[in-house]
This record gives sequence, C-alpha cells and structure tokens, in this order.
Amino acid sequence: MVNERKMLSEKEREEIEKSWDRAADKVWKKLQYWKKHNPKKYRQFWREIRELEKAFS
Amino acid sequence: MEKFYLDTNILFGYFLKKILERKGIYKESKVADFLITSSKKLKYAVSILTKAEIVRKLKSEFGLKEKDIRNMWKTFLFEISPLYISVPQSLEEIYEEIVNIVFKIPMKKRVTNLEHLIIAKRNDLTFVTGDKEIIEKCKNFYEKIWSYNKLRGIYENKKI
Repeated sequence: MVNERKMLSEKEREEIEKSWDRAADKVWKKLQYWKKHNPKKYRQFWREIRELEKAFS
Repeated sequence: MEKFYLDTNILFGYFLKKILERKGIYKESKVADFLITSSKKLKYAVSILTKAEIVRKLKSEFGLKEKDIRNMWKTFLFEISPLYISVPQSLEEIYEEIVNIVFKIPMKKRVTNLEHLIIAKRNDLTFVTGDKEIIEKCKNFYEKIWSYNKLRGIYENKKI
C-alpha cells in the first residue's frame, strides 16, 4: 500500500484549476443537453445521485 | 487503525460535487461532504480498479479529456489522501474467488463490486459499499463489509 499524495507545485495547481474549470464546463453542457434533448437520461442521472445520497442518510 | 476501501459510487459523488460547485451550484452532498471531512480521521483506500471506473464514467458520460481527468484525480489524492492499493494477484486468482462466490451465492448484478470485494479482502480492508446485494449476501464470504450508513453512523458517534 502506498500513499499517492504528493505536494503540488504552483504550476501544477494552476493546471489543475484549469482542468476542473474545463471539466465543469463540459459536464454542465452535457447536463443541459440531456435536460433538453434526453430528459430520460437527465432524470436517471439525478435519480442515481439521489439514491446515493439516500443510502448515506 | 481500520482502513476502508470505498466503492466507486461514493467517490463519484466527490467529483460531481466539486464540478457543480465550479458552476455555482452548491447542492448539499452528504456523500462528498462526509468523504472530505472524515478523511482527516479515517484512512481510505482506492485501487487501480476504482480509478478505472472513475475514468470510464468521466470519459464516457461527459467526454472529459485525459489530461483533465488525470488532474482531477490528483486533486482527489491530495484532498482525501487515500492509500493506493496495489493488486498483486493475477486476474486468474481474483476471478477464481469470484467464481467460488457466484457458485455458492446467486448474485444478480455484474461482478465489478465483487472484484472490489476480493481486493478489499486480500488487503484486509473494510469494504464500504452501497451495493445491497453485496452487503446482504456476502457477509459469510468476508465479514468486513459495511454499508455507507454504518460507516457514517459509527463515525458520527465517534466510535472510530
């Protein structure tokens, strides 16, 4: 077993921030797309999230 | 110290929460909040299988780029600081155990969570899962299987 954590440089942090921003844009666009064009998939996605939250509460 | 091997669903909750926050959506997420808070006191573990499932979901469902997923995984490692479990057993060994289980116990779902279960067992970790079938049917095979609820309940009662 190893701990994969390591310290991040400032450059790495900036890159990581940009990656999260890009990921957020893509996920958001996909969710909006599903909402408009594939509501079944959209509902299923949130249903699975709700079920996970329910299992945890 | 007890170490907990988490199934993929709980981890995906973490990624989703952080993604939605970037869009200004602060949905309450008991799963992700618990994971972040409890990681200060509990020791979590993940494996290459966990990573593969997270990558698959982020790539196939949302089309994220490899570089971005790798960077998101770095954040997860930095924030939650899990142990990374190597899986030295051959696929043959792992699936031999899975075959033994499914011969004895009728399992309806696919075997991915059984793969996680074998990895947890081989590393003497408590397997935390939301898979009711695993929780209900596999206790005889490996007793250290906990539901999310049990982990949270015991953590909040400060028994850990």
